[in-house]
Amino acid sequence: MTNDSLGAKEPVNQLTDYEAALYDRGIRLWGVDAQNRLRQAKVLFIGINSLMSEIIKNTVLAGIDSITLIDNHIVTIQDLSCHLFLTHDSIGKKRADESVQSITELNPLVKVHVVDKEIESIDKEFLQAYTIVCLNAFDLNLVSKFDTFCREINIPLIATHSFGLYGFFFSDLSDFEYIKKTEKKEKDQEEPVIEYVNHKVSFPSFETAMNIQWSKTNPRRTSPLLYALTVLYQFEQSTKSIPSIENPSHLSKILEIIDGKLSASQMPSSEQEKYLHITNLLIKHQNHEIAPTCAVLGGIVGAEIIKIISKNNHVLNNIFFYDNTKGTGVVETMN
Amino acid sequence: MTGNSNSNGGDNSNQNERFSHLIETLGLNLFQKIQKAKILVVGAGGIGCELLKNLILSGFINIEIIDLDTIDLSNLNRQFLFRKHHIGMSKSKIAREAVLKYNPSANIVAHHGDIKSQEFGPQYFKQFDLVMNALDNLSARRHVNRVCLSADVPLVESGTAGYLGQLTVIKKGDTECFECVPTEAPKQFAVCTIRSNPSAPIHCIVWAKMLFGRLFGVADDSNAVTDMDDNIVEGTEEQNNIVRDLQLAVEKDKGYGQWVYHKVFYTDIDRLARMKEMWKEKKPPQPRLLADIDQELDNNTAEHINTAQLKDQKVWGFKENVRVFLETLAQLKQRFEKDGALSWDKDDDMALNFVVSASNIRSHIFGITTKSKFDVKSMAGNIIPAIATTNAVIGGLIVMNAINIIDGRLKDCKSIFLIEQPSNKRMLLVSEIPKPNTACYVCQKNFITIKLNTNTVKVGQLIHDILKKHLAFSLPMLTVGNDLLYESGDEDLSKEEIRARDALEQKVLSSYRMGDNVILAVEDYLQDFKVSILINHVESFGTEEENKKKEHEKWFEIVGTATAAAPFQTQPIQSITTTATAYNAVTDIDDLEIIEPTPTTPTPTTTTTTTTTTTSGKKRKEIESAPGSEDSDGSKKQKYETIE
Repeated sequence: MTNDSLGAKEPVNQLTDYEAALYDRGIRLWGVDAQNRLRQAKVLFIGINSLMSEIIKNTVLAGIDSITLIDNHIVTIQDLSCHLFLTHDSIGKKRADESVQSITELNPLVKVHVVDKEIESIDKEFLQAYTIVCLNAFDLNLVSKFDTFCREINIPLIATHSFGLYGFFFSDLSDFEYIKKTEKKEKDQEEPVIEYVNHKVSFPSFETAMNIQWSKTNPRRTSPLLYALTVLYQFEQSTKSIPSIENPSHLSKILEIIDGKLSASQMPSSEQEKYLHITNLLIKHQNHEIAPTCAVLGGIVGAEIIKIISKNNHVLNNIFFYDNTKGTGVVETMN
Repeated sequence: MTGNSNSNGGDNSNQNERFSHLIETLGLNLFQKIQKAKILVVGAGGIGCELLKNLILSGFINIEIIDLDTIDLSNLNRQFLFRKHHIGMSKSKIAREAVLKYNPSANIVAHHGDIKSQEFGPQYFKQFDLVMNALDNLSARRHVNRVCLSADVPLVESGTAGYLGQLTVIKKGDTECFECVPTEAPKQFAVCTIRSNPSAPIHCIVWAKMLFGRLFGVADDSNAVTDMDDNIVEGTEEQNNIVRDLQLAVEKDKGYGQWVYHKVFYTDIDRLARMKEMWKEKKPPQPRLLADIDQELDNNTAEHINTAQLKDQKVWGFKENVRVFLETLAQLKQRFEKDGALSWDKDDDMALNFVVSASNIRSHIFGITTKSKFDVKSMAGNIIPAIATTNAVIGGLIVMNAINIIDGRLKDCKSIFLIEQPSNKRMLLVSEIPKPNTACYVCQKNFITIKLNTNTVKVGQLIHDILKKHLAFSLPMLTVGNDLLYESGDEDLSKEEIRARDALEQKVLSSYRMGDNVILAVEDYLQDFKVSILINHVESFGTEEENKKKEHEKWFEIVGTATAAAPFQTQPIQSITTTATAYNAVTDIDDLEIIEPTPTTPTPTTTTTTTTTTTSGKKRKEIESAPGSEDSDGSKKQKYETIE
């Protein structure tokens, strides 16, 4: 990916009249330069569940160049859930293949590719071809692995997952630069003065973020979901497996991790109950995708991907948590 | 009211398997309530498409959709249920077809119609457990707000603009209504700014739209943008010092384009420029002869900008503007002669080109920055850029509030704002929904239904006998939506306007937009008092014999809400003058009851008050026993597990 936004070369419009009309409202919001950047963007989506189908819908509508799907999962009736691209006829077939037609209909200008590949076999050379990678974060060890790849080759990574009424996304843009346009209206001037300001943001790795000491946070001002996520991460790291609500040994291991984190941070052990409850909720609902959560989280992630590609707006650094029981959405910055 | 055959049908197990994630998350009990609920979605545009998809995928199956609009190319960046080949077709119908694919057994009814039409009155609204607004204009939203209050149906109200979105819940008596906080009126400009003294591009754009209306629109006496045959540029007849622009007649002979150009960019400008006292502080405008333009250089000062540009973002030079102006003028004239009056539409390229060129020529003349077609379209068409992601977020949040309402947990509903970048870590700002504004003329007790025969009662009778005599208005002004229907008082009106009003008073209500189910906003500036009145058509009250026995024949009835039918006998009221002020001042129903009715006759105010009290009491009970509150597992609180 070239850093065209910051180069000295004068940008040239590549949009056709039809594209200008189709993307008119987007262009009025984020500008022609951003639209041109979207037009060149190649986005890789890994794990095409319902949440991902929302994100794909949002990015495809915005007018990117192409998307590539990787997902060999065989569709079951439960997968239909709130998926935008699958139908009953998709059951028994590969999820990525079954999504292609609906995505193409959504915006025929966007090219849709499927790569028949096991997720485990993806290497960083493969990722190099993409503007941004969006990964289903069901397996946190996988997120860690992809994050290491993406940081090495400086490709933005978004990893996201929902757990019933809760969800999060993690963003790692390494060292990211963007130029934001600001309009200042002077008192005596009819027309606002336009300024372009350069911003630089540094993102921590997934590992750094997940290993945060609880003592460095203020529990009253931090989403409880962050603590639960760090517990899940430690569980998956140490056991190399995904926790199950039905496995008693998993639950005692979870309890052990929480106790360890509490004592390391000199937090009262009476807090154990609270964090166990949240963590168990996430484990229990780790496979449950519902429409309102996917819509909200998918909308926020979609907007984020568009902003990252556009490079002309504020980006979220670095974990967003959504709680559908309260409608709250908070950004936690780990460093 | 909420029954549905699908919820208990044979494919239940299949349905449940399809929705297993939802059932695991929300519980079977709540899922069944969702399946039984009957809901109305008003608007199938940006938010509407997202919302309908979320509703169907959340297990809702009884849905009606109303939308008046058809699909346009510029919708396709976000209204994802529509395709290119749907352009020009009904939004509600295509949206219905599209979401049926997600659940073919759902029971969706699509109406391609205006929410403000009489078929969608309070009676229609009452069949729903919940109404959701997905509208883009204030007047329709205010309308739905009022109908929902009248029908006592909860409403989820929402809106988006660019990256920003918001939603809230409106429930009569429990929450603020859409009109509790006055919305900002659309920006208006002083007539003289537009006609004589523009200082910003928007002033010239507004002027150009008015010129379009003057030349090609429906005849409108209030549009005084120019008088085509008036060639006076200075002086008055009394002073006998008139100066005329004789060239105007010459240009008129040359052709339509020359005539219009000369009139608005020479004669009218010359007259303004001669008003010396106006141009003491700034440069006077320069009248431009068409004949001189060829000699001028096209000084299109293309400033260096470091961004890519669309074709429409290039600012035209003066000569280019004149060329486009003359060209579109001729084309529009042809269309006008063939098809009759035109209305300005930002998506009508010819009409847009007219406004771009006319406004830019005027800007040149007044020394104002000229604008590109792209920018003029935004300004003239009031375009609020809408994108998919914001609508997706709001569409999801609406469903969460909807589920809370269906589950009988109104108190868990929240007002939520989506913002562009986090404020104090938060992207979604969540707050409690405010209580009703006790001064609100829409949702507080100042809501009245008048029953009468709309085919026989005249406008004058409504104004004088009902509003003035019975409801103590001094100078009622009647509006429906944004349209002014009737204005009292003589001071501000011309003789012609008063004559027109007298003629109007002789019309029957139904022939002047005051038919059945119309909601009138009645305002009295003098008393600083406003009230919403729902007109309900009834053929007659009782039999003739019954009426004969009474002193006055009963021909109308006033009740506190649309639903309650407390009979009210119309009779002369002595103490009426005091009631309006009392009505206005009180903030509590109990206070109102202190007003003593005269011993022999009940005052309408008292009747109204009593009715309101009983009705609202009854309604609240209904809400408590509405589907959702009967928790089979006995728990009163949230159905699903939460953190903290």
